[in-house]
This record gives sequence, structure tokens and C-alpha cells, in this order.
Amino acid sequence: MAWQFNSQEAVFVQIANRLRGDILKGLYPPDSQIPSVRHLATQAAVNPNTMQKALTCLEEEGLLYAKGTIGRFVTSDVCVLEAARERIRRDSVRNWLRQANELGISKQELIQYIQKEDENA
Amino acid sequence: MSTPVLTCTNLCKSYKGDKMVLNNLNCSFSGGKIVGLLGPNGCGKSTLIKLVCGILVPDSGEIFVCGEPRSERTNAYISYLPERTYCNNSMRVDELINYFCDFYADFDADLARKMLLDLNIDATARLRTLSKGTKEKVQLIMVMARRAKLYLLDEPIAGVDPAARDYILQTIIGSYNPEATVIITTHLIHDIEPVLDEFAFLGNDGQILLSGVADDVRAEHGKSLNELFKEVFRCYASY
Amino acid sequence: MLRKLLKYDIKSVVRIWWFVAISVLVLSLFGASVLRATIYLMENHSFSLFQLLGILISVGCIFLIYSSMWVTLFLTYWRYYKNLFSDEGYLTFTLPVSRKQLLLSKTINALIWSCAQALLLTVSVVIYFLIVPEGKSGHFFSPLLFELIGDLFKNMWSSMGAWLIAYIPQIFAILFVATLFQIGMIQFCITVGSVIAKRVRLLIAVGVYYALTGVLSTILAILLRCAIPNISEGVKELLRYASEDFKHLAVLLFLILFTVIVAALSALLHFVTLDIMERKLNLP
Repeated sequence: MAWQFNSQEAVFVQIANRLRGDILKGLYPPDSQIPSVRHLATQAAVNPNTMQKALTCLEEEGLLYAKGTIGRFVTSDVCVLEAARERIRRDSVRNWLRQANELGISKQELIQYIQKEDENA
Repeated sequence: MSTPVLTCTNLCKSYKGDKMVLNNLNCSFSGGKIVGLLGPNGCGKSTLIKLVCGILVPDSGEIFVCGEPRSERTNAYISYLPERTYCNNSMRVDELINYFCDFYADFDADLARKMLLDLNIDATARLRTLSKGTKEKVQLIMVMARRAKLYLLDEPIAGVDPAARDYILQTIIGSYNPEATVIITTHLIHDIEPVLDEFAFLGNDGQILLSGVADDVRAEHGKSLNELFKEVFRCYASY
Repeated sequence: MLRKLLKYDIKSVVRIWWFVAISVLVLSLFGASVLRATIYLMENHSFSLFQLLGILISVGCIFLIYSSMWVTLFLTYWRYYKNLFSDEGYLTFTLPVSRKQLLLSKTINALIWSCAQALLLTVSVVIYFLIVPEGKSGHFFSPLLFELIGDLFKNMWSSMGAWLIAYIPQIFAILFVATLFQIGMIQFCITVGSVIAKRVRLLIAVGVYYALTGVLSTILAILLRCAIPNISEGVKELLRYASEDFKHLAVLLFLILFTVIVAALSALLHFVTLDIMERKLNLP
């Protein structure tokens, strides 16, 4: 199934975000090889050059490393992975706080809602 | 810089009457790109494709394919998928494969058979017994099984169900090779946008209004290609 | 490439024509037998319903055999139209072959099937001549055909002598260019009809055909009307004093001239058709 993209961010950024999520979720374990650019591009129904850009991004972040012409592998560096997770957690929470602010929900109310939901779940 | 795969200079074409469909059109596409030729209905996208294939003759101007002036020789470099089914209905699918093998040296019969297998299409079936959608898929397979330098796909995903649409896009991406260029004309921009390297908007006045790299549109214009299209063509009542 | 184009053109007609050929042969055998039986009945018995039935069947068979000519014509030119000017044209005209080769392939295809059809009808006629007349001295088959052909040759030889050797190939040449001319005409009309009209293109093609035939006939009639009175006087004088040999030579020269003119017209039609295909193509 082709991946869906929003109209705000550049497509390669959205691809990189999705792949980052997949890696951190464990879909691609550390030191495992990710599929080729062509395979991923076909799966996502995106231009291979765009997919290449996204993968290069992740390489620069350190989440992926290239082994010559064999392909790209997920890093086993725990620090890098943890740092990436930390960044996602932070960005996620930042988003919540911003949204809550826009809706006029105070920090106290937000904490209360989180606790109530947790009890019900 | 290697020779561009397709160059059009001062191309003019008008139909009976007065409508000037292409008016001194200039464009150039280099190898290894998937390009979207976009525009409202009737703006001349199909006309341009037909001119490159030789089905129509321009009023004036020149067309160069891989550096050579357009002729039956350049037809060998081009793999064309028109909007309509163009195969002889009384042929069987495997006879069609032989036909393509006979006339096109770059046709990969094994790849074609593999794709037919992937789609569960019976190679011994006669084309007239297949549904319209299946016939279109067979045609697409024949076109994409060629190792051409220029693929011209005229509205490949219009009027096709969403599952087939995905398959078509994935076939196009899967067949991508760095020396070939794929030019896709469509008005379904939202579906095609992630697949494109570059785009060109063809306006109703017969000229290229805007062109560029698809990836940069969001950065440069702050909107998706689809939204940019709507903005550029908002003056046209047909939209 | 031309050979490949021709292969597919021939294939597309043979798919149905083999059935036509078998039918004609079967009909010939059947029709000739029925005709012979009917004639026998009519000569030896009083009128009965069987005789009527026999006549109807015989006529029916001959009609069907005759109409095979139209079927072949239709098959050949339907292929021409469909392969070039219907949606199939989108594939045909984007093949890496020249328009010249496309048209030549179609022309050769039409020639082949004209010959095949002529051969088929000849075989049919031979079958009729063998079966229908009474056999001689106990044999079933009649030698009438061979007797007639033999007599014909003897007569022609005695009246024309050695000129016969020149006349016979000349007749075949005329048949050949006449076929070429017909092919050129029909291809031209279909092409024009397809290029100038968006709908009912074949109807327009038929219209063009009749219009063109009309124009050509009118021109020919005018030429003859002007030429004949002027020539006839001179010719009559010449004939009074000419020898047999000279007369034969004159006739032969006239036939050759006719052949050349028809061949030139056919070539003209061919090249005009080619030009239309190259510069004015307009697919649906």
C-alpha cells in the first residue's frame, strides 16, 4: 500500500520520520539490513531519489550506516538510538503542550486528564 | 552533461480551426528522471506526447529524442502507453509478447511473463476475453517490460481502481533505471506527486508555465504540488 | 522489418481465410455434384420437386462461391483500416518502422490475397468443369475443360501465330496492374476517409471511392470522345494497308501503353497515400 503524505512537510522528511519510527519501534533491529532503496521506494510508491534523500538523512543522524555496496544497516550504537528516542519523546510532548496551549488547557488540567485516562485504561 | 533524452524547440501545433494547442513550446528533459507533465484537461499534454511519438506532425518546431531528430528510428527509444487500448483484440497475450519481441530489440520477454504471473493474468488468454482493467494492465506490462530510454505514459492512472493505481505506480518505480526518463501526464496530481522527480505545468496557452523539482515545491512555495497546481490554474474555468 | 510486418498482416487474414478456402472447395464439390445430378434428372425424368431443389442448391452454391471474393476483399481492407486507423494505429504508428514499409506491407498483403482468391476461384471453376459435364467412355470426370482449353489454344495459334507468346504475358501484366490499381484506389480512399472524418470514416471512404471513380470515368470518357473521331479516320486508312503483323504490333503497343498508364496511376495513388500518412495523420 502506498504511503500517505501530508501537504506541509517535504516528502523526504516525512519518509525519514516514518522510517525512524519503524527503526525505533524495532521493525528493523540493530545491525539488521534494511531493504534496498528500490524496494522501499516501490513499497512506499515514491520516487527512488526521494527515498535515497530520506535514507541519507538517517545516515547523517547516525541511525543508519552504509556497508559499501551491500546496503544500509541499522546502527547498534545504543546511545544514538536512545538519543533519537529522546528527541521523539521531547518533540511529541512539545506538540501536546503546544496544542493544549492553543485550546486553552493549562498544564495542571493536562496532568489531571492524563491521570484520569490512565486510571480508566 | 549528457544529451537530454527529450528536447522540444519552438514547437507549435494547432488543430482544425484556430485553437493553438502548443505555442512555441520549449522544454528539455534529462535522463534518469520521473517527470510529471501536468495541466488541466485539453491543455495539450496528450498532444505533446503524440508529437514526440510521431502520431501527430507539428506545424513548426523541432523534436529531438536522445539527440536525434524525431524519426522512426527514435521510435525504438520510446515506449509509449496511450490512454486507450491499442492492441489487436484477436491476439493472445503470448502472441502479443512475440509481437513486441519482433519489433523491439529492447523488449524483455522474461520480465513481461514474470509481471503477468504476478498479476495472475493467463498468458494464453485472448485479449478480447479480458476485462478492460486487465487489458490496461497487460498494456502497461508490455510498455514497462521494455528497456527504453524514454517512457511516455499518457494518463496511466486515470479511470483505474485504487489497487490497480498502486500497482501501476509501483511498476513505474520498480522499472526505474538511471538512464531512462519517464514522462507521465496526468491530472491526478495528489497520487502522482510522491513518485515525481520533476514536474512541468502545461498551460492552456500552449506553453510551460512552471517547472521544477517536485521535492522543493513545499520548501519554495509552502504548499504541496497539488495545491500549487490549483493555485496556478485557478483562473481556468474548467477547474 | 518489412518481413515482420507482412508476417502479421498475412496472419491476421489467414486466421479467417483458411475457413473461406475450405468452404469454397467443399461448396464447389457439393454444388457441382448437385448440378450434375439435377441436369441428369432434368434430362431423363419428368419435372419433380427434387429438380427444383437441385436448381436452388446449385444457384445457392454458385452465389456463395462468388461472394467469397467479397469476403476476401473485406478481410484484406478491414485489416488495413483496423491496423492503421483504429485504436491499433497507436501501436502500429509508434513501431520503429517507416510509413513506407507499413504501406508496402499492406499492399503486398492485398496482392497476395488477390492472387490467392483468384487461384481459389480458378480451382472452383476447374472442379465444376470436371464434375458437371458427362464423363466420356465410362469415366466419371469430364475432359471437357481440357478439350476447350486445347481448342482455344489451337484457334488462337492459327489466328495469331507467334504473337501469342507476346499476348499472354501482356494479359497477365494487365491483370496485375489492374489489381495494383484497385488496391491503390481502395487504400487511398480508406486513408482519406480516415484522415478527414472523425466518425463514419469508412462511409466517407466509400463516398470518396465513388467520387474518384466518377471523376476518372468522366475524364476517360472526355478523352475518348475527343480522341476517337480524330484517330479513327487515320486508323481506318492505316488498317486498309497494314499487314497482319503490323496490326498485332499496334494492338500490343496499345496494350503496353495502357499497362504503363495504369501502373503510373497506381504508383501515384500509392505515393499520395504515403504522403497523407506521413503528414496528415489524425488518429481518433
